[in-house]
Amino acid sequence: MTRICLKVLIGILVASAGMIPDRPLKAELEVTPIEQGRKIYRQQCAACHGLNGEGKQEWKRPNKQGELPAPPHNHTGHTWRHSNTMLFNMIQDGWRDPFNKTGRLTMPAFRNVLSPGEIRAVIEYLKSLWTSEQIEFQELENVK
Amino acid sequence: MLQTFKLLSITRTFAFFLVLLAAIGQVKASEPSSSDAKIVALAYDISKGALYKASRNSLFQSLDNGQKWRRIRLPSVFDNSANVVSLITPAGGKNTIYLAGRDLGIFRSENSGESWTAADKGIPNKQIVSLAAHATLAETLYTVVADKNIYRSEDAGNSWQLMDEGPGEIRLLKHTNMKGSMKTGWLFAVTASGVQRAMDCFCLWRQAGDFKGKITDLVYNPQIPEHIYIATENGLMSSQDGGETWKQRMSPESHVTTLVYIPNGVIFGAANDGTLFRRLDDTETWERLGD
Repeated sequence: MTRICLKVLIGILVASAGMIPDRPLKAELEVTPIEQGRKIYRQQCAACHGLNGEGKQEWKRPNKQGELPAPPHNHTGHTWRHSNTMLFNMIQDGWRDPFNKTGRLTMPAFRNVLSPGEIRAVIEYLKSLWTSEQIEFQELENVK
Repeated sequence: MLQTFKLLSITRTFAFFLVLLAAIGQVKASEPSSSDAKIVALAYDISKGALYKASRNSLFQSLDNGQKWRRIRLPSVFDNSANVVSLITPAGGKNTIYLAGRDLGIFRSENSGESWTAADKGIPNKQIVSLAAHATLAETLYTVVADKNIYRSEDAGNSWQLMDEGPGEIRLLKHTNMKGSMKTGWLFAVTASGVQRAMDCFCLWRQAGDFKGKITDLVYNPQIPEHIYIATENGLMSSQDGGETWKQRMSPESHVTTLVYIPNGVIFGAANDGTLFRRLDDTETWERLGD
């Protein structure tokens, strides 16, 4: 009887062990801000700024209406020159280039689309696209 | 006895003339001489109400809007071969003056020119092309060095940091507090291809106007920063929309090469022959100052 119980117990344990891979690990539950940011970026930002942050091809040249095409967010752009606070405000409130001849915002506001935590996650993702020197520069901007 | 008296009298007269000649020499040294004629830059200290003018190797101060000038003593490095390119006062004035030039580096005086200290630590060489003061932050400066790069100091020139390569070969750099920047203002750079402007985060340089001639200076109205004046070889031009559009303006009888806009809307201009002019706010008339 004891042997049978032991076999059943072992069987349950083995079966349970077999179940483990089907359940998410704790580490998997904790998605990094960069990963979270990447997902949000691809849903909300990539259409204008490119799937990998490469921006529009002619981003340095205003169009006929004076609007600036979306700039890159990777190391070839200028996003790294801005502090976290400034980037947060830009995403949340948008920004209008003063030489834009339309009434539109140059960068749309995401206040009603993204939560503050989601905006911060996007910024963390953007940092993963920069060089170490650019990250160092941006960290100095953050403490000013 | 009589001969001795005559000898003494002659000696006294001779000594008197010597003293007189020396005094005349001293006066001449404290006023602009012909070698100081070409004014390369003008600046205004709002805290003191002082107008400054610099030639390639000398500096003068006027406390009566350009009627009388007092020479300011400069360090020995400003000898006859010196080549000053920029004279600026920081936001708020504060009795501070900066002088910069080719082979000179940058010098700062915090007591209206009584004493000077070098302010170019961290810049790779002393070949300064242009020096600009931030419109509102007194300790922030920008400089263009002969390697074509732009450097920024946020501690009144005590240390400098490489910021940007700029839009090309810059001849002159100015900072304004025009609205709409992602950061604190806008930089205007005069290049061989005209005026370029960028937000002071150095995000993107863009053409501001299409000029054929050489531009020798660019100034803006501190109260309405969108109002910009430029001195070109074809006369003065102005923009009222931050450099989007420009129109020709009335120029003084002499060719003005450098300008300064003071807070009440008055513009001072210096011609290449050293003549100083003044234009009162909202007028097209330039009045000649001094002789």
